[in-house]
Amino acid sequence: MADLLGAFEQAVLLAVVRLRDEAYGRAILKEVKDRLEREVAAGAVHATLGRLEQKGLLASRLGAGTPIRGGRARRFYRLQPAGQRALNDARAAIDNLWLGLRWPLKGKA
Amino acid sequence: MTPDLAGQSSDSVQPPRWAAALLESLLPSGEAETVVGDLIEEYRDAVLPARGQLQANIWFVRQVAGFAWRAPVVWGLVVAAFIAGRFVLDTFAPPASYAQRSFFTTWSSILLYLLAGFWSARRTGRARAGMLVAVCAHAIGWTLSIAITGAIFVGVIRDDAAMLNLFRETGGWGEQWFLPLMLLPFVLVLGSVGGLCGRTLAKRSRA
Repeated sequence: MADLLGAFEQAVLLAVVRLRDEAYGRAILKEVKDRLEREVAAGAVHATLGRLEQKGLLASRLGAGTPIRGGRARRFYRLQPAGQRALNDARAAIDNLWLGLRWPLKGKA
Repeated sequence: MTPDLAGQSSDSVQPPRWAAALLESLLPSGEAETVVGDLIEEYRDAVLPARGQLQANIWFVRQVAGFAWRAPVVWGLVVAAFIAGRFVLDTFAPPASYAQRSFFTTWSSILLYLLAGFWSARRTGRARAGMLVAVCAHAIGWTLSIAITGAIFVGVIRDDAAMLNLFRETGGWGEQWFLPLMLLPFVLVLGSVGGLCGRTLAKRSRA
């Protein structure tokens, strides 16, 4: 099994999966913020996107800009087969860790 | 719409230009356009209508800082290690002559700032990035070294007369805290020279 993804990497990859053809920087940032229910720095999301692309889990292409962005191009991301495998591995590992336990945990910690 | 935006379309409101320019200088050319575009879109579409211009500008500058620290941080750690390492060696392992050690640290530092400038400009394709990264690395290194040397002084040197004497003989706070400040213009020049070389090489590899 390849290196397991970190929680933030999973959040970013799953945002790309959810957004499909609309997965560009700002939309991914918004999706990650909404899902994690906390403030997230754009720098953290962009650094993660760059790292995941370098690892071959994501691919990107440039798209047209819009007036609200001052015409600046958007970079759209797409999940790669290696990314899909990495997400499946991460999910399987979590399921394995929870096997036989009820969620949420109850009683004295 | 907040009162300070009355009569303006949010598409015409600009975030602080210096911050956008700083970010564009520090990112590789392929990323700069898309990243700055993402931030401007979020600024105009979500932050500005919800918080007003002043708070939106603060948000924008914070986001830029969230990107900007990444480029010089490793160089800054190396600078801090240099300054603090020299301090530790001078205080706990004083040489018979400081000339050789000074020669080594001076030329290593020059090489370090040239490399920081070169690497940054090579990565971004902009000579300005070299100067910015070298200066920011120096500021980070200086700040960290103040914390490290301050902690060592309070913990080990302050109450030991012999150590205190040695600390003063090797330059004291002037050497540790104020010399790096005086070196800033040199760092700026070295970063710029490294930056020019890095940009030239980046242009040649693209051609």
